[in-house]
Amino acid sequence: MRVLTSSGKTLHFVIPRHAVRRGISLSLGLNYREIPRFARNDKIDYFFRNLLWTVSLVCAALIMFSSALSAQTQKGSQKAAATGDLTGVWYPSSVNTFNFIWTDAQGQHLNALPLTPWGQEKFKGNHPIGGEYTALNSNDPNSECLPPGVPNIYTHAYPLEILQVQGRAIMYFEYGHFVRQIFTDGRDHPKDANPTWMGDSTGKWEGDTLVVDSTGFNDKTWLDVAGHPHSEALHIVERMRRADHDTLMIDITLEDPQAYTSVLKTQRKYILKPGWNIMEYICEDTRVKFDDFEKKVGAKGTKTAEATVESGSAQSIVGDWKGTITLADGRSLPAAFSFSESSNGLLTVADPSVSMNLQFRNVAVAAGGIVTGLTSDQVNFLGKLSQDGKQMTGDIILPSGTGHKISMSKP
Amino acid sequence: MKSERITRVALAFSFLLASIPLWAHHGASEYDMTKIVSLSGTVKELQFVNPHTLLTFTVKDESGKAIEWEGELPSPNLLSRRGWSRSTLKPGDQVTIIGAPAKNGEKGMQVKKLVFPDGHELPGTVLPPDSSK
Repeated sequence: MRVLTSSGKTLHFVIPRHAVRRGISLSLGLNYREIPRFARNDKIDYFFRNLLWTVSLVCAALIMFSSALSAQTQKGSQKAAATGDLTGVWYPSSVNTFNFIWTDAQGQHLNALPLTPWGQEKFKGNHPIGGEYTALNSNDPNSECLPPGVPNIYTHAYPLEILQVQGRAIMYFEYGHFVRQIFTDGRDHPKDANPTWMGDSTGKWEGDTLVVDSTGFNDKTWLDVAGHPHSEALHIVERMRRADHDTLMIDITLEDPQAYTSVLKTQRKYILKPGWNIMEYICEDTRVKFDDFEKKVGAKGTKTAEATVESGSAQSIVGDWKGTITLADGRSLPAAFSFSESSNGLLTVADPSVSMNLQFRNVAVAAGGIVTGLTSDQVNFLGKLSQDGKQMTGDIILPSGTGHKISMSKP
Repeated sequence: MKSERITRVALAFSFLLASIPLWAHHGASEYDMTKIVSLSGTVKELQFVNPHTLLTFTVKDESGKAIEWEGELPSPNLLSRRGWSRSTLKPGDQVTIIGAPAKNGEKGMQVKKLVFPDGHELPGTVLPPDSSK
């Protein structure tokens, strides 16, 4: 018997007569001797031999077919395994800046975005919060509890959850409960779709990276907190991947030829939060009441804020303090804090990985041992002295609100 | 050597830029971030609702008269993951409230943190170091 294999080789099978008989007897569950004599007849033997040839050929074909099938199935499961797993609740890393750090396509930092004349006109009309604009007179859509759009949604300090179901990855944002459905079933963007706040997203897996392509945005949202505009032509490509098990990186590349003359890129980092779940967040809950408060503290006034901290002498803390600083990223490093008689305080962190020198002015110790100070970059120090005056704990409060903690003692 | 120095400068700079502020929604331009006030207050009301928590408290002036203040805090979602609950502060509780005052001199502030009589603290807009990298 000859069988042609898939590799083109011919295999020869020789089936001896006794084996045929044994095969028949085995297949009948009988000893050869138990085969009726007529069956031992050569003619009948020939019949059975032909039968066995046929059975063997069918078996061989079945084996080859099933191995080909199994190879195909294996290929299919390899393909399935090539999709990554981004599921989990993710919280913005403390390295994320409030506004995006934009770069060009080559990764060069952009101080000003390359706006088209249309983009410039729109940008002029956007008044982000800051300077003379507060939540009351800014026209930031976020302040109206409107959807932030993409990528603006990533500027909010709330977690997001990624769920992967058949044919879709779903981004479920705590902030405003906004949802992005990323269709991974191979479909294209709908043609002539009505523009939406969060756009239309399709995705495909490149290894363990989910490449998300989004279009179909309306032009009512801002790209970022600085008020950079975009048009309905906005096209975003995001590459989402786990840099490690606990870290999600989202590389964002966008183009909008109506608003920008070239491609813009930025990046966001998220940290896995096992055990967290997305909580309810309804932006509207206290708006009426809160707006009253905004009107009160945001109203233009000529009054200077009252210095409510009794300014005390900083004399009691003059000298060199040593201890540790716990950075916002959780690292603890040795640090020193030197206070001078001229109400200055110098905080130094000398570590191979971090070089930090913060010069605080107007250092004061108020009632209750509250120590305050401020740098020219508006970094606040807010400390608390122990009752014996030998221990000091406190917060280094950056303009963004991030806090480093210090714990010092005076030798 | 030069590149190492640039890296160090960049690192130092990144600490100033870092992080999404928790009051991003309504902004913080109403507050004088160059000042810190520390007030011994008596809690009147805590509105623990989104998008911002609002604390109303009274502070006694020199004549002993109770002056009403309001303090803005991050949303309940962010606070509850940092040790707060809606019953953290009840009317009548004594607490030291530390924060940045309103620029216009109104009795309003952005609360940075609370210090309780037993010395324990709860964060407001000052994020304590956490496991975020």
